[in-house]
Amino acid sequence: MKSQSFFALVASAIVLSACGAPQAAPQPAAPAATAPAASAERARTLILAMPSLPVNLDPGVATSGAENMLHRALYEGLVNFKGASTTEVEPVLAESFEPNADRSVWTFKLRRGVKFTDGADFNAEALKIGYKRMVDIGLLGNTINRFTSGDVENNLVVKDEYTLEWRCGFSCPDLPLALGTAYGTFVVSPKALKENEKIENGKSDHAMPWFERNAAGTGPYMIESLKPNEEIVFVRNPNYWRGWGDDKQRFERIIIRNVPEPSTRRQLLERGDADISLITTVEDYKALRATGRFQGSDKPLFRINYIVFTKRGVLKDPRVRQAIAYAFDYEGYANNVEGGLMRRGTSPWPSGMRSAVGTRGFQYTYDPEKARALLKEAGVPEGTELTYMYATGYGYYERMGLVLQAGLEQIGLKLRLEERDEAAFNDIFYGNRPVEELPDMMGYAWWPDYDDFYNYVNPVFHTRNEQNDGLGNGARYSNPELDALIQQSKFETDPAKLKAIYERAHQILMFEDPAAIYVAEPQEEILIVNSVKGHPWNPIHVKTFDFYSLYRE
Amino acid sequence: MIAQFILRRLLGLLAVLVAISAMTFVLARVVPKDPARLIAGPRASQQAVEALRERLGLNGTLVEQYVRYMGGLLQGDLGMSFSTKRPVLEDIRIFFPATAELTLAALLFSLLVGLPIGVISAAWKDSAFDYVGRFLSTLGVSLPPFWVALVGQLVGYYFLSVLPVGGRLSQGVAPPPNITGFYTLDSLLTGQWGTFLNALWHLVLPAFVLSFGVIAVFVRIMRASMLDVMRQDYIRVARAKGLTYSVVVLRHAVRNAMIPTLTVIGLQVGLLMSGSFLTESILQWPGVGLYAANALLAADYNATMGVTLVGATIYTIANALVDIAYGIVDPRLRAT
Repeated sequence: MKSQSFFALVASAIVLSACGAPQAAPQPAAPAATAPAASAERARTLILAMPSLPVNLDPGVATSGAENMLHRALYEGLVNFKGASTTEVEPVLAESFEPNADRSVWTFKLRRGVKFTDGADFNAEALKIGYKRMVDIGLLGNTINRFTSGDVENNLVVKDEYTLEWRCGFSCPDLPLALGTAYGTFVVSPKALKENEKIENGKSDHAMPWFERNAAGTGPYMIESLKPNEEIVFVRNPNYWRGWGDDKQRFERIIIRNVPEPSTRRQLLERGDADISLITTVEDYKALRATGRFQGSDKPLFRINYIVFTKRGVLKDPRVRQAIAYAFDYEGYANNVEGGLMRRGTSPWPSGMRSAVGTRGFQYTYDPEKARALLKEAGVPEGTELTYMYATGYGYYERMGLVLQAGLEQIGLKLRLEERDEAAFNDIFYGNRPVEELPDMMGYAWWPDYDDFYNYVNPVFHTRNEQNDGLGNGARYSNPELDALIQQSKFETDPAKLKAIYERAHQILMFEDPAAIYVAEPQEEILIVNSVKGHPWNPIHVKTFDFYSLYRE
Repeated sequence: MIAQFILRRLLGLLAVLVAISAMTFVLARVVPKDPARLIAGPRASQQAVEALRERLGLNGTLVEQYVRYMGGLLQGDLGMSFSTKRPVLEDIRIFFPATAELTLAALLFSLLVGLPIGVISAAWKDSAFDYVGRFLSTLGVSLPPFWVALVGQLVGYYFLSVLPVGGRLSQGVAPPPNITGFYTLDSLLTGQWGTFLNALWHLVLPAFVLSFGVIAVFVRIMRASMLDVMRQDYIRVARAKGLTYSVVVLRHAVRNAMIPTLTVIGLQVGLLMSGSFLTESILQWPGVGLYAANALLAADYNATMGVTLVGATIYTIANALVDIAYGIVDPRLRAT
């Protein structure tokens, strides 16, 4: 009887695994017997199972979400978004901040008694040195650069040890909000920088090699061990300025494990061997949420998944791009293909942003008849073949392509899907190929550093140029009127004028000269076990955590 | 004469290694990939990407880059890994013992399981055991390793909770002092029994998965070889002398049937090494295979080339040594 059960178990495992994953989440077996001490140790440890573990710890260099997650444990900036809010910030290393009358100058009073983990004092000079390094490296200095009009040296003024005067050079009511981003605002220790900086031929390396593998910040955690490709372990910073003394059971140790295999991440979560994980398949995500043992977010992120158009061949005619946008089944994709874990896109920038026009503006519906009529009007021959390229490893780009392919077939167009690995795709998307050598369409996504129209739209839709506008404009979209609107928005503070800019930009990008199909807004793919509390699910902080706010209940 | 032969083989080996280095270099770089952009991220300006490219040594023409790479290689420098930020050689030194331990454990397990099944299947040909053995060996060569790994983990970890997931030791268990780099062996040598059992526990599933296909090969080879031997006259003579069937099988047949099997064992080591790439990636065994898989995904040229070169070097040297050994044993081969 016993062996029969075993074989039945094995057989069911084989069948289930052949189906991709267990369809109905089985009740987890009880964890192996552990001594009470081990259980207590486990309770004080937060374990994350993540699909990749890049280990560049330099907050001035590394830009991926996975790396930013590590930075948030080790470093801090002046302010942080308040809970789930995207429009309010709370002080962190700043104690308070206030603007002058025209809001072009902000005075930051800095927190006293804060030390970096290498023993150096945090003060106004340290902040300025850290931000200057960020700008000089040139990878993540966009925010600091923009709000100092490109002159950190003269526009960050140290008034006294704990007072910094920040001169934007223009009215910048959004400066505190911009500093809420976790990208390009964290401060490194000036002592570590000085001790590890190497200068060759008068050129500084900004201690990048040292900061890649070491950390010296003011954050709540420090590195205990780091095994590339395997795991990183953080322990509490014993001198953390906020202290560890309140009644919440904050974590003593944080272990981030590299678990590339999605089914393993699911198993680790279900068996209680991981507290947080990224669940990237719709089936797994829904099955785990259905158990009631995990928290997730039902709100869309500040992110749009696009299919961008290259203005070449028949796509030069906006009517053809409109036709393609009409041929995409938005609701079917979001609700059926993505299982309701995405919302259909309603705007060229996220619908939760202050600037979103959304359903007040023009919207596409799935309408093959209208699409056919537009194609006929534009004189596009039946059977014309177009290409769609996407990066491998993100299932949704392929699924977007398949839905588009089905839609285009309905209107007499063919779509060839071309998959590239991420490095090869990036080479095409960000490289210098002429438009004629690009595919007709590409799968892409973008998210802002903070809730700001210019910050979102400038990289994605501004004409790419040597001033670094249009950094994420891989399709080389260009519309002079839109460029002017984007530049105007950069310094405009009048709400009525800004509203007019947003509405006009929406109309251009959606209808008059479509830059893309604004397919969907995804939800966060993170799941957290119910016993871990304190994650605010802020839609800007994608796939990262304020580790100090997390605790076990 | 023999010295000339060895010299000729060693020169051939050098030529092969230079050719391999050139091939891997070109293959890694002609594909349209930009590691600098991948590392810099989508928000980096083109100027910053160019600066990073220079820092990574990816600027200049392909020939310039190759000359620079070979210059380093001659000094034993395989370059820096873009993803781990360590010299590639140091990475390989760190990760290789895990792969070697896994490979040897899988080989040992394959031999311990595969050979007896092959012998029994042949000795009792067409028995129920033989049919089961043949069925299992067919499964072994048919089932893809990644599937075996996924199912093995699902059953061993998820359903039965008897096996761990990933890593070489449990969280909180310190590695033994580094003597050979094999955690099982080092913990035994230093008398750390708890660590030994923990390391063994972590080794079970990856070694089983890796050995699954190889067991099947050993079963089939051993069975075929045994059947061939059992038809020989000397076996009949031994039986005619009145020896029992089991004595004939164990003392006479097995020893002779082992000869072709031993040849295959050598080939299987290479197969096991390459199979470890997939097994390590799925089961998060921190060896060279997982390192190489991560390097490929991250467009980490130096790491990819380093692993390829070191692997190819080991394989080529082993082959050259075999060639030389054959040449010593059989003088006729020295002329070729």
